[in-house]
Amino acid sequence: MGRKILLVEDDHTTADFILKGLTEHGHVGDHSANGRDGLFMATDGGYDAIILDRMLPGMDGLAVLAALRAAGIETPVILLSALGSVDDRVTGLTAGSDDYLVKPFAFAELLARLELLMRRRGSGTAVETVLACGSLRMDLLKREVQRGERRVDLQPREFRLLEFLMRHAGQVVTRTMLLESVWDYHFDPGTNVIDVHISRLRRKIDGEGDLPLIHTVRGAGYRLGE
Amino acid sequence: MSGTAVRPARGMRWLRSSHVRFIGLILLLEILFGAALLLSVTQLVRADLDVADSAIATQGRDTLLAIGRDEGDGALQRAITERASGEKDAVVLLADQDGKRIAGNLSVWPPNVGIGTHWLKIDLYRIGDNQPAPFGIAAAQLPDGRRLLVGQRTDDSDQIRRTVEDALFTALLMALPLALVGAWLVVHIIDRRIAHIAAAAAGVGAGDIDRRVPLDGSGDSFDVLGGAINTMLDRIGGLLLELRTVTNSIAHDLRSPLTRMRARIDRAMETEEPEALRGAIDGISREADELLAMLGTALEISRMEAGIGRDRFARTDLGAMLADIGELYEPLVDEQGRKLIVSIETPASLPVHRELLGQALSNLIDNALKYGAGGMTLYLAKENGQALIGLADEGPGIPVERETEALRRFGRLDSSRGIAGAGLGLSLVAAVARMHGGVLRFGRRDDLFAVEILLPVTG
Repeated sequence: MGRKILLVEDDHTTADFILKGLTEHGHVGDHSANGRDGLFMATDGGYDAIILDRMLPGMDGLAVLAALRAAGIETPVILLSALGSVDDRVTGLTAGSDDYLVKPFAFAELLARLELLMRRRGSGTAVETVLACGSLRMDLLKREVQRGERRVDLQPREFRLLEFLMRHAGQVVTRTMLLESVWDYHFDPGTNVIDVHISRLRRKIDGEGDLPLIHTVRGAGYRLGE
Repeated sequence: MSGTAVRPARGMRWLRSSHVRFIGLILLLEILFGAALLLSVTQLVRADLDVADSAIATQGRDTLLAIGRDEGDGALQRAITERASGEKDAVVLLADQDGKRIAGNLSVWPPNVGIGTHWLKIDLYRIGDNQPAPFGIAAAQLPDGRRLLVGQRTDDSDQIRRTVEDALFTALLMALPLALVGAWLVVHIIDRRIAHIAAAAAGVGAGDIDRRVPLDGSGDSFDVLGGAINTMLDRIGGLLLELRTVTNSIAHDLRSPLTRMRARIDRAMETEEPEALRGAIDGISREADELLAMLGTALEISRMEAGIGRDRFARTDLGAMLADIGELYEPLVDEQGRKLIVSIETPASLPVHRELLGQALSNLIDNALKYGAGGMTLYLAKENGQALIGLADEGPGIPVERETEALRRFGRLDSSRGIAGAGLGLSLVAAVARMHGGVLRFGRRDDLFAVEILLPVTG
């Protein structure tokens, strides 16, 4: 499932690092080193997603983003930035980007977020009432979870955590993605706060003798799947 | 842009000096005031003297008219002759209808004096005079058609008036240099007071940060200005100290992970085993993450100190927020065999920066996890109308005698050396508190050590 992705980034080391990673994961990456060309390519390129550096020569990343959105191009955009403060993130997100990633970042984090964005675009707006993965079922209306025949009791937050994992089953979700989506906080809790939540959830979901569903992805985060 | 201000052409620069302007202003005021005084006093004196002169003239005329009416023409002519010869300052004339002299010391009726003139100042030649003299006169027509003119010399009044004017003018002229001296003195006093302030500012500018403006306690404008400047310098000094402390603390905190990273790299370079290499790289990556987090925190603090982010304040239910954060940390705390209780004593809703306050609360719990012991309580209470967010635990905390030092420096205390990041973490909490107009402090809650954020309730 190769996707066509546009990278607008003036730093060549970072650009090579990202393009190499994209190719390794079966995607096609186009590269532009300045905002003006990037905007031009984004306008008629038919990309599945755009990775946009915030600080660019010629035309600033936010300006490119604004121009794209003004032209009615709704391609998902991830902003990359060395500006890591909470306010910079919020500014980036309110400017119309779909996600915001602070440099330096692990490629796994970028890839996870990218795939999440492209999946979100593809999934349409159909309202799901039941989520399933293997023998795990989640009823969103009754707010009930079942593993095979066994009923699993979850705290409200655990429910939301599992719901997020199930909605993105098969994809890698990172710790910061979980903190942002489930707790709606963008700061870095530093310690392994999320890991402990996941291991609690794992104990409830993956019982004795069950096939493990929650996997730890080294250096990136977690993935739900068989 | 260069830092120098635009200056006017050299030749006119002295005109811009506040000294010249000030002295010029005082002189101008002095001259205006003098002119007004001179004008009004001479006007008053002149009017006063005129009234007196006119009274004498009309009285003389009326007396003669009465004599003519009551005692007959002979008596009138006698009285006129008597007056003309007896009083050296008097002028008197009885003339016929055509103005020809009948009696008195004027040879003819002056052509520019009307018959019914009530009061007039005029220069006249009397019979025997060889030069004209100023007279104030009154005239009247007798019932039989003849005319009567009576007057009095006004030399004396004029003399008085001139004396008064001269005296005033001289006095004002003498006041000018006095005003000049006064203005110079005032300028000098202002200069001396300003010089203290300028000297202190220059001293601080040259690097003597502890220099202050000497105050005389008079409470006048200069004293108030000096006090304000001192307060500003205190604040700047405090910020500098804080900056130095934070910089030192960052440098210190950066050194440990960097040293560990260096050691790991050295070891990794010596090994050939893929598994050991992999482990070493993982370790290095963790150290790098820690370094990045510390730098992020330092940047966040400096942004907060610069006041950036205040526009993101939104009214937030602090109780719900504490519950959220508590719920986020509860599993981690639980895993370490400790307890975290969230206690909302007084609900509060304040405009806050949710992310940064969340980060601050997270730092508090993190610190308690690393340095504290036993159960923790995250609580929201009210104190003197302010919202109080605190975290208490059963650990030893910071000794009372070192609290001030710890609050001032936010550096890591010696007893906790070796565990990274505490100084910076608490610095961030303090910066968040200040950003919301509040303070960070240490306290005791039911005899347990507590770190507390006091936030003013606004709106």
